[in-house]
Amino acid sequence: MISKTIIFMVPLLIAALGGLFTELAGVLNIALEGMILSGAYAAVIATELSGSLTVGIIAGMSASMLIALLFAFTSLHLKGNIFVTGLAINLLVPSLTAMFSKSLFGTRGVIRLEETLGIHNALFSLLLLLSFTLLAVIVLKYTAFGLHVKAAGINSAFLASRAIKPIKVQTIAIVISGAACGLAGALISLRLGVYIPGISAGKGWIALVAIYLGNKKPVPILIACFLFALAETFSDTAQGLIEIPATVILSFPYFITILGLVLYSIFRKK
Amino acid sequence: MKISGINKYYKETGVHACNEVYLSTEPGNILALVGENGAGKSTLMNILCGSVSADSGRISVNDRNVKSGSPESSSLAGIGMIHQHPEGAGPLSVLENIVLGYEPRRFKIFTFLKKAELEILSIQKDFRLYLDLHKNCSELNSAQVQRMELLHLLYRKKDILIFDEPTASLSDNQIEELITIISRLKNEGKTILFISHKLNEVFRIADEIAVMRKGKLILQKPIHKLTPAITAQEMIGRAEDVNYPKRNHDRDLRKAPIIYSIENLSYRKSDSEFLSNINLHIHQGEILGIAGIRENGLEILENIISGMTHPQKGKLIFNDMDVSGESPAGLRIRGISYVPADRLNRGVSADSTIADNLILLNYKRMHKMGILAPASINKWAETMQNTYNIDGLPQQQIKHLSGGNIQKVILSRELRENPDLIIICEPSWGLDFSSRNQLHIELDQTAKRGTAILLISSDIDEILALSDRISVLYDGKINITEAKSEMNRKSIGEYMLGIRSER
Repeated sequence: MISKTIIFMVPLLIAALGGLFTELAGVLNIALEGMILSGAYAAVIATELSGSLTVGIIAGMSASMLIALLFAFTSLHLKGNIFVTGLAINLLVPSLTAMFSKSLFGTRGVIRLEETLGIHNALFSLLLLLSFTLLAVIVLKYTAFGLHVKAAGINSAFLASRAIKPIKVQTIAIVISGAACGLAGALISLRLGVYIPGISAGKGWIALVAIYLGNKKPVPILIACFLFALAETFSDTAQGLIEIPATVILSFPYFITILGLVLYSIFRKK
Repeated sequence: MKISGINKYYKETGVHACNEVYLSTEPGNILALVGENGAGKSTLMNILCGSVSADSGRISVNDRNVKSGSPESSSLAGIGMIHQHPEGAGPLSVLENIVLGYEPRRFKIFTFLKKAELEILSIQKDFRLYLDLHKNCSELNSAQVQRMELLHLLYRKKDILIFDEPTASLSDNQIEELITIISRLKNEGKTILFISHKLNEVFRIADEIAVMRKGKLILQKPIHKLTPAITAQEMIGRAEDVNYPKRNHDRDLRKAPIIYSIENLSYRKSDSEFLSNINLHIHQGEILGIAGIRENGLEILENIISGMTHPQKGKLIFNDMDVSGESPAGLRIRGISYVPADRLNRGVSADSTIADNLILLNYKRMHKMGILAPASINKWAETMQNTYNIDGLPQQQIKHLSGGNIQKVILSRELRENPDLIIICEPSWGLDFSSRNQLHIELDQTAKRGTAILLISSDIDEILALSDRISVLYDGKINITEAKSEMNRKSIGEYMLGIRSER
């Protein structure tokens, strides 16, 4: 069960770490969900067309980064309300995928692949988790860019007074979150070898909660993601075992999310 | 450095902020630029820094031209400015704040904080500017943030340092420290431009004084050829305004009924900011001045008396009623008005119009069936503006007004409610002489009408000019409470710093 949890954790953590950059840069990034979905979709399409999983992953990341750029452009450069633009991204992506599917494959729904990405190895997943966390720690703590990201979130006027454009830093942070979400989405869909509408299943939202629950620090975020993945594994395993309606069990991760948000606000007050 | 023939005209407001300004200074010289609010000092300095571009004129440093309107060019020429209210990025360390944007790098992308730290430590040693580099910036007080900015400018090897009203929000002994630092910078050969309208400071540190009035440079002379009185006359065109207006009545109020009292008040915020066992009372029609250092309990006292925080121990009694647990709104209903020190955040809604700010306390009487009536609002605003000489149009955003006018908006709004007690904190921060004097006259007349005024201020001269009785806060305690006639500038200062005590 632990090994399954660790495998479930990978996309969630990658998305959360990507979102951490935008969060620290002072950008409320609710578009994570849409970015993950776009990554999942583009990965499957590209793999289907090219036959290569690597191409699929790259396509997933690129598609998500494109969406991220759109988000950055509308919210930072055109100064749209960030909540509305984020919501718009989340509403736009599912309809876009449906439209592409219809014109490319004549279906609006499921796209199935011949091959799947073989990440069923817990040890390899663990290695991925640790290296991504480490990467985030290093970038945030030891690079000039990391310092600028934090400064942009704390006091963007102050950063601007030091001749660095906060918008530029924030745009880069959004694109990083796009790349991370694209990768997360690609891992989700390619591991199953299928694209199903709504496959991201709230992972972007859960990642956002994990960021807050982890107090915007990489290692605590890792732990928060573990909790959420554990809940997901539990609902996945329990479906066949316990006699509770499957729908209730499947909603278990979301209950944990609500619980997490409540706990976060309680701890924050203290 | 030379400034020649600088012109700047703001079309939108029709203000000629700089009119053919010539100014020059050299290394190791402290040039003080004085003038009333709106005299064009800030515009001139912003032109120097490149954040505003001049319409015409030339700036040169070491005979090399500085491109107007280009912060990079000014920065390259070695010009750096410390703003009136410097800010930092809170949770980051002091070191990170200093190097932000100009970090030494390792392998291009990694920061090399150790190297920066060594560099800054040596700067600290050279200038004896001590500040813990590993502290969080959010733990610093305003004097320390200022020092952090200064370290940043020195780290970037700036030679021309502009201090824009650096003492505006400092307490008296922080000002002393700053003066020491500035004279040390001067000895190290830095060129210093010091903007202020506090003449006593200017005469203590400057080598040369330049006076600006209404966008024009009136004079630039070495300090020994000037006196404060002459300078003041040049600044405002009239001499008498520098001095505080005399209170036109000194009465014995000891027999008047006590309207407000504080009993055994204690509050602990941190080891340096606390109040212990405060006892005070104020009579009807009296002005009680509480002097002290802002970070040393004065600010907490303001918060507690105004109802923003509640005492941990002790009672606040107003008209024989315990009001310790009242909210600011509750206090207001009972007849206590509050004019805060932080005017832009607490005193007004900066983005709202002047009219909206003027009706904040009585808008409930200005509606027709629950819908605000613009006609009566504008009429009210105009009446208020005429009565209290407030500039601007009623529908203009209040943040574009000068400090003095904003203060007038707040005070007039509060006075119109006919309070029994007014709490007024640091009333003349950022005000020029004539606005300050108008304010003092207004307060004097208010007291004459029987309103008690609790004046909280870190400015000793103001306390002396305005109060009937004076209390001095030191180390969280009231060091002394005495009639004004028994106190002078020196004794208040000594009580404030704890050199003397009468407990």
